[in-house]
Order: sequence, then structure tokens, then C-alpha cells
Amino acid sequence: MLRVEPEIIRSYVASGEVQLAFHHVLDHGNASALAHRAAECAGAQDAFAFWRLHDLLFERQDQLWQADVAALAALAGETGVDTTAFTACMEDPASADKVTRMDQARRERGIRLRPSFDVNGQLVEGGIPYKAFQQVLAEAGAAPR
Amino acid sequence: MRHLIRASLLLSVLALAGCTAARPEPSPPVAATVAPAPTAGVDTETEALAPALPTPTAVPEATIAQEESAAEAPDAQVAWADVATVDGDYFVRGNPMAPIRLIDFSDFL
Repeated sequence: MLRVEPEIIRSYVASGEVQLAFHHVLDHGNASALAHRAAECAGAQDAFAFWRLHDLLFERQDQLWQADVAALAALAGETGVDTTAFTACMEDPASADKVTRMDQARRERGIRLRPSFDVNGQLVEGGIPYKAFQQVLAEAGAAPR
Repeated sequence: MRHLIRASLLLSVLALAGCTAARPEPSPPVAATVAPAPTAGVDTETEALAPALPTPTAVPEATIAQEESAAEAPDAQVAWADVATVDGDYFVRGNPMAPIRLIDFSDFL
């Protein structure tokens, strides 16, 4: 997650200038895959539940290494999703296929560093300070801050 | 007498125009126009004034539909940070029509 993501959301997403999208990166095997599938399965019920669980997964990152489907369902339940439907989704191979496919796509694009981000096609790899983000967004057409 | 009738009709027209002027969206002011003088020998006062009334246009409903407001300049009154949509493989947060898309490539671990 971008460390500056909350600030970007407050300053740029809230104003309507920037839309934020998330691309799955699976760098830690099955633990990563389960966590990303969890976000997908929350999103399958409610698009904003994806983002609520996205935030929760980053907050509870230390719990994810050993988390199983039940533990992830409990986390998902905190976002308000139906945990029965969530669990069923986690058992559906489609969620695994999607996150794997997206991860493969970023590998093929040569994206290796985390986080990396794409701003209207311009790739910036690695975490950068917020001021640097402001510059990138300004170059992309965002109003100066 | 004709003056009195004409004046009262004009007042009615103006009152009606005032009622239809309250709209959520800015729109051209409804102007009550005065009809031309009736032709001689024909009492067409009421008919002359009535057609002069501009046809009320349908008041567009104020919408906060993402697509309609998003196509215009970003609307600060829409809580875009609370908006989430799906675009292909992506879950998107914010204005789906925003000119800048920032894609975060991250692992939760």
C-alpha cells in the first residue's frame, strides 16, 4: 500500500480528480493469494467492501501470514459482508484465477518493486514521498496543491 | 374595463411565472411576455395573452448519478472518496470518470 494513500484519497480522490485502482501483487505465496482473494470476495458482494477490507488487510498485516479462510472471513465480516457468501467465494477457484492472472500481468510488465504505481500509463516504482506524488499528479493534469 | 381585465390577467401570468421559477438547476428566466394588441372587432384578450406564456420546460431532476456529474468538472459536493465501482478487473475508488487513474500495485503482506 502506498504510505501516502490516505493523503491521496483525501486530497485527490475526494475532489474527483483521481480514481484509485488496485492491482494484485502476490509476492508471498499462498498467504498473499488468500489475502487478495479475500479482498476480491468482499468486493464481489459490494464494491466498497473491497476497499474496506483492503484497508483492514493492511492494518492487520501481521495477522495475514497465518490466516486461513475462517480468519479472513472474520475480518471480512467486520466490513459488513455476508460471511457465508464470502466463504463460498473463497472456495470458488474463480477468485484464485483472477488474482493469479493479475499478478502474472504485472510480472510480464516487469513490475517488481512494491509498491509501484501507474499514473495514466506512467509507471513509478517504489514508494516515493507525498510531494513527489504531487508532482507526478500535477504532470498528469491534477490541479496544483 | 379592458385595462382592468388585462392587468389582472398580467398579474396572474406573473404569479404563475414566479411559481415555476424555483428550479434546482439554473435556467433561463421565465419571462412573461405581453401579447400584441388584439385585432379590432375581436375580443381575443384572453387568447392573445395565453399563447404568449412560454411553454414550461421539464425541470431536470437534480441527480447525483456518477456518470452524469462525473462527466462534468469534478463536483466537490459528491463524496467521491465514498464511491466505489468496478471497471474490468479493477475495483476503483473515487470518480469513475476522473481524468487521472492511479493504479496501486501492492501486496497486502
